[in-house]
Amino acid sequence: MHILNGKSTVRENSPYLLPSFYASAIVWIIHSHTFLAKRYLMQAMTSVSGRKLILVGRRTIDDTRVIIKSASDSTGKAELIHERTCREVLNRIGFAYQTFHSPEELGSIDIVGRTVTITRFIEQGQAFIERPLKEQFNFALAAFKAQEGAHATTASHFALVQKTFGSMGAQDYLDKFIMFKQALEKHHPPESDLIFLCTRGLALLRSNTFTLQQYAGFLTHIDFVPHNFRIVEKDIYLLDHSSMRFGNKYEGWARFVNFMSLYNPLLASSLIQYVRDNRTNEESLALKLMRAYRLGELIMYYQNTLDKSTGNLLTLNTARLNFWKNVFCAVLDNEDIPKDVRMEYISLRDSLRSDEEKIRQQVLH
Amino acid sequence: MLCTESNVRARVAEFENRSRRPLFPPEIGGSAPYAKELAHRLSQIHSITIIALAEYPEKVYDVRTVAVSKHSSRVMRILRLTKLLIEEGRNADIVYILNAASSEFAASIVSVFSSRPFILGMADTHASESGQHSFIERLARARASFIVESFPLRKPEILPLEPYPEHALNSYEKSWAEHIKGLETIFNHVTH
Repeated sequence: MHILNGKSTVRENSPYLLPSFYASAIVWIIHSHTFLAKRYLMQAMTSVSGRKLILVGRRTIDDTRVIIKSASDSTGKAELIHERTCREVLNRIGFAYQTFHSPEELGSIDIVGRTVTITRFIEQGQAFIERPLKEQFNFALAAFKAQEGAHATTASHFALVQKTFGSMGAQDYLDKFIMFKQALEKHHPPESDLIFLCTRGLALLRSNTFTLQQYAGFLTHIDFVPHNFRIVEKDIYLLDHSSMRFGNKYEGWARFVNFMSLYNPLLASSLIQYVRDNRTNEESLALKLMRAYRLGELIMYYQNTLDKSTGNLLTLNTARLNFWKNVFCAVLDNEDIPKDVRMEYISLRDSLRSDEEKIRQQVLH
Repeated sequence: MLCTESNVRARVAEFENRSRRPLFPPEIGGSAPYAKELAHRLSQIHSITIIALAEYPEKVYDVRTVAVSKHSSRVMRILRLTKLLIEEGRNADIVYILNAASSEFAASIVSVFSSRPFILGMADTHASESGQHSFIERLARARASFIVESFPLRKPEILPLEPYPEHALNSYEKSWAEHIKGLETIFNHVTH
């Protein structure tokens, strides 16, 4: 999820800001309960994601903190309904080895063309990124193992989950990566570094379709990053259920490791090392393949933001695109991201963000 | 034996429950890690063929793997497994079956027509517990030449932020050495 605050100086997603009447606190009256809320606007970093208004609020009768998600566009509404269905089905998967923790749903309603769902806010004592490295590693690993515990292997398994979660196989990943590459080719000449990297990435995926398919059929959270889960004592609560699907075992790992290559490179390298030390060579390859795939998607996402951005935001999104291009190159070369590349990007990013946005980002992860 | 409608249903449900535990990586849990490690270790001494109920089984160096698709119906799966057990069993000295309803059932049928000894390994404790006293398990136990109920330790994880688990890995290796030695004794016993 890309989380946005309408009040920030750098409006990171300004083309998607909702009308101004949402700018202040909003009161929803649902099922005779009143909820007071502040807003965020979120859009998942995938090509098919809808727009959702995310409100952090309180139920007035008992001061319970809640998350209110609302959408008016058809994709966003479908996503909210889909998320609700996923949440319900998740704990009913008969072939899962572990159960999942989800926030309790307090209400849902269709009102004046909007779909609204309200769930209990999961309080966590400490942001994930502030925890000691070892704790971060252990929680992340436990979350991945829980997801991997649901592996659809038979026709009856797929019949149960396909409709709700959807699934991706080797050909789907290849087709999508070709789509990312074609989208980037509209903006970059064939001899550019980026298109060269995409060609290398595609060749890598094409030559390893067996491995892509070998680890398909696993439950995976495709947007598994710290703002999409909460930790309460030893339990991990998944927040964004619409991002769950049956796909390559390492798709969720890839998103997380890529994210951590920016925010916590030591954690990223520890997770890669874990796979290398404890799992097969094919699994290390699967992680690399999925990292390349997700980076292609991420670069295309930022490419698409450039036309809609101006000023500081355009500078920031261009820097993001270049940073992730460098990460893509490092992944394909089996190398670490050079420290100076990372530090330069962070420095530029922070100089372009408002103070308010910086504080919000700290709380976010 | 007379099967009433309710009996049949109960058996189908039981079968479904026991079939949950897969057999070979990349499938996880149950006896899958044991099966792969066993094939790897036995391949140092013997010629091994794996018949795996998996779509895309992980490869084991120097071991031939035959995959049985799980995407067909349960009946077709068992028929295919049975056919493969007959074909592959012709050239084998020993057939070692890991406990899961489909493999137990197929091996029990094959054992009626074949003189090849089959050993039943109860490596999947979950399947074993949920299948206790089931018709299929009782049948497999009755037909097996030997039943293996003791298994090596699970491989300790190497965690990058923790000290290297040298002691645990040594114990793991030791347990495997003992297990292979035990299996060799059983193999010699049932083939002579």
